[in-house]
Amino acid sequence: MTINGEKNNTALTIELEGRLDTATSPMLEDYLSENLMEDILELRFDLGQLSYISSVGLRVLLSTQKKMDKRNGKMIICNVPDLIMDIFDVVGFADIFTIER
Amino acid sequence: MQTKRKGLRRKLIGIVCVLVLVTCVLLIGISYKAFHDTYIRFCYDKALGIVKVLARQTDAGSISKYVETGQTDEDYDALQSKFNTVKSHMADMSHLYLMVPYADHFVYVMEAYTEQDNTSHLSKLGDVFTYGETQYHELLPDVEAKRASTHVVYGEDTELGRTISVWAPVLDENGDVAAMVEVDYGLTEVQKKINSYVLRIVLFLILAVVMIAIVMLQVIDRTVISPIISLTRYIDSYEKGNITQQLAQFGEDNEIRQLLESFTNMIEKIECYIADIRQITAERERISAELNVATQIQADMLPRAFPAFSGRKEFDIYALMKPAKEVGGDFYDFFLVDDDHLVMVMADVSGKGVPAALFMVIAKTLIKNRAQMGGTPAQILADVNHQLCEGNEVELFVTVWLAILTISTGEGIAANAGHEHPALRRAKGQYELIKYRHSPAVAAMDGIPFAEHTFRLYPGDSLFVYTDGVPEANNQENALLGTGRMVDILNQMPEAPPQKVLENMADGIAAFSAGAEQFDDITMLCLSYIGCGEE
Repeated sequence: MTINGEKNNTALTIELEGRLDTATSPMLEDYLSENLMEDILELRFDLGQLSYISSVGLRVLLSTQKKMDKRNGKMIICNVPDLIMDIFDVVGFADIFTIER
Repeated sequence: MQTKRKGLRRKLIGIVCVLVLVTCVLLIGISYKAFHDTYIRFCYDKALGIVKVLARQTDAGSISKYVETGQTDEDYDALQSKFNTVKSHMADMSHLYLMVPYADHFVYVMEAYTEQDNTSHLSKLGDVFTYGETQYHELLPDVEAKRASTHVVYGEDTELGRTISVWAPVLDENGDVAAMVEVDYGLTEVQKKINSYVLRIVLFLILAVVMIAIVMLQVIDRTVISPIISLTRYIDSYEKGNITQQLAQFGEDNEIRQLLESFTNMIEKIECYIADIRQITAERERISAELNVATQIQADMLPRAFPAFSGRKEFDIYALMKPAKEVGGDFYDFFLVDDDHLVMVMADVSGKGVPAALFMVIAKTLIKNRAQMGGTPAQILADVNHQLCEGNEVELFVTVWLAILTISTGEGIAANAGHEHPALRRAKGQYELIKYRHSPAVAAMDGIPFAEHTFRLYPGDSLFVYTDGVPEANNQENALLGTGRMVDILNQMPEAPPQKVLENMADGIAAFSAGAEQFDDITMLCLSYIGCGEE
């Protein structure tokens, strides 16, 4: 999996490419702990190139969502492929996440 | 070990011998050459002195007269006796003569002789020697230069062997060359002297070099080989387990001692590593043993005795769990809250291994306890969600499918908190996935509401619920089984009883993954509703 981040003042956009599973989720966790500073209030995940997400990957997104909620920030997930959207629907996260299609 | 020790010593002796031999040969060669050159130079200088003296004492004016007339006089005889006297005092001298040189030949004037000389071999006044007859062109006197050769000229004499030849010119009043005095000096005696000298030198050298070699070998033996042997003994004693033996005393502080110290350090480090590894291994064994117990405990938590409700003819239920690691995050559950209500649970904690297993234990206990207190699936999940969210710092969540079936009527209420789509088969039909929008997973977020819906089972209907380990079972090429293939496997024997359904599914998964490592827990539950037989 590759992670591309772009910071713009208080906004951070992260593009994920590949599979977000047990093996790669720690990479995203490390990346977030380094780059998701206190001053970031708008976080945007671009999943256009993501082919798979496992429950471990969902957990990372969920805990990030909670972190953003705590600081009254926004977390937006965009360009969600159909396969990933099915997974979001199945686990009910479509209700928790703010998803732009 | 024994042969190796000898091998090293033998090799060193061989090297020293070869070095000694080469040194001897070089020394002999150099000293021979130096002594030979010096001695020849000495002979040459001596001979040159003699011919120069004789040339000066020879009257140039009368020589042409002797050669032209062939007559001798008193002066000639006096010169002859002077030449003879000189030759008689010089034992090595083979020829001493006076001659007049021309372009291609020379004419003898006189040759000195002693009593030992065979007079028939001597040249007389007027004898002609043509240069063309000799192969020793370098023997020719340097007529034009009016002087003797400045370099040593070697010749060969039938009686005396190797010779050197030296000339000195006899000059007339005009400074022209009137005649030449030449001496051929035999080198045989000189050679003998050189040889005996060199022989003495060689004997002395060999003696000295052999002594040096012996001393060297002893030094090598004492400073290198003996310490190495001691070192070997030390290492041997370590091998035999005698690690308490103290570092043997090696006297001076040299490379061998350093080697020994390095070796001792290495042994100490190895000892540490061994101790560490032993400890780690023991730790791992302990953890492994504990995990085995944990596996057992987790397995025991799930209802595993089948048939589960031997007295109930209205339904047949079967379930199984196969964790990917020692412990898993999946679980199933089914129990009766009262005589007419069956609760079924299928759940999957995010993640795997021990953290997931611990979370699973809490989740399963909470769900069962809360369900037994009554209420609908949505109420149960909302309460469990609230309790699980408390202090859930690790952000784990659990997807749950929970259904409460009224056994007498086949009516039920189900809630799906982020879990996989159940597969339903109506009597005499095929299994199909029931797709609807799910609520979020339990423990994902506090305070969220859970949706529920009613359903109804008719006699002959079957329900199959599972965790994502089934559709996401992978093969060697990392392809997933998928829900499509899963439903296909179910429909190969749609009429099969629950136990057979799960066995078929397990076989189907095994056939698909074909030896690939099981990546996720696999958990399945199948219910076949028979009904009361009244309707």
